[in-house]
Amino acid sequence: MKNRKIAMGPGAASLILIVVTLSLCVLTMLTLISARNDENLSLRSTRMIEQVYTLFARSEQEMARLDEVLIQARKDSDSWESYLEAVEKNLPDGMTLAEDRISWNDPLDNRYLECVIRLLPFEDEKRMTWEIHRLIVEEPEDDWEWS
Amino acid sequence: MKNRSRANALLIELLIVIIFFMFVSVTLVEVFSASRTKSISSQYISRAILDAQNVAEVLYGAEQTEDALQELGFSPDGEEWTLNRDGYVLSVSELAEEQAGGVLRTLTVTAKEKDRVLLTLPSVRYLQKEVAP
Repeated sequence: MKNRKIAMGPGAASLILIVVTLSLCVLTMLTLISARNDENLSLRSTRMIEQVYTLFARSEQEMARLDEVLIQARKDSDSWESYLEAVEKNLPDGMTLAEDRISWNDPLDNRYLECVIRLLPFEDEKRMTWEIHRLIVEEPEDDWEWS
Repeated sequence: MKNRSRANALLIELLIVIIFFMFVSVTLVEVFSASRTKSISSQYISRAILDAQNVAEVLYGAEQTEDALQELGFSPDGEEWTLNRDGYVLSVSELAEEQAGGVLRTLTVTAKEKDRVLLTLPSVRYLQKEVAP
């Protein structure tokens, strides 16, 4: 019986090297792309959350501005109706008065902050309280349908 | 003789292959290392977002800022309060502006990774003063 020897032909090692190198390169690129996408997504989330919190902060500042109007209106009025009239006359831009509720919206891309404040009666030492203070996201309409 | 020269050629080829593979693997290891760093950074950012949001919400509802900060584990550091987390540091600074009818309390929650600011969240609340009717 002849002893068979298994020998590597010329170029086999180079071929194996090429295959292994290409595979590792592809794996490396996929890893890098995946990590970059994760980082970009995290940074996008960060920016969006900062914007949302800035919106909420702005609404509180608007509330402070409104309070000055309410305090002055209370000083100048002796009845609820005249108080509401004085408030409506001096409302900051963008706000609307409906009965005893003042509302405004603060937009941000495809969402907005809905703010509604309820005016408290004269006897109350505070002037207002939050009734609605929430972020509303306007979902885009689907432009396709299942057939 | 022929076999010997074939063996020599094969050895040389293997040597070249090994050297080439060494250079390639050094580059690839660097790229893998960069990917891992980015991945760890993303993890820190995600955790910092949740942490900072949690702190901002707790402080918004708190009547006494200092008590709330101590309960959350913050410690005073000059004019700020700081909390060391794994990979980043949370800090809170307070600003109180007197208004006609109350106090506009602004608490800024910042997450920093070494010298890099990851995010800054403002937690603003208008505290109405009781004004006699």
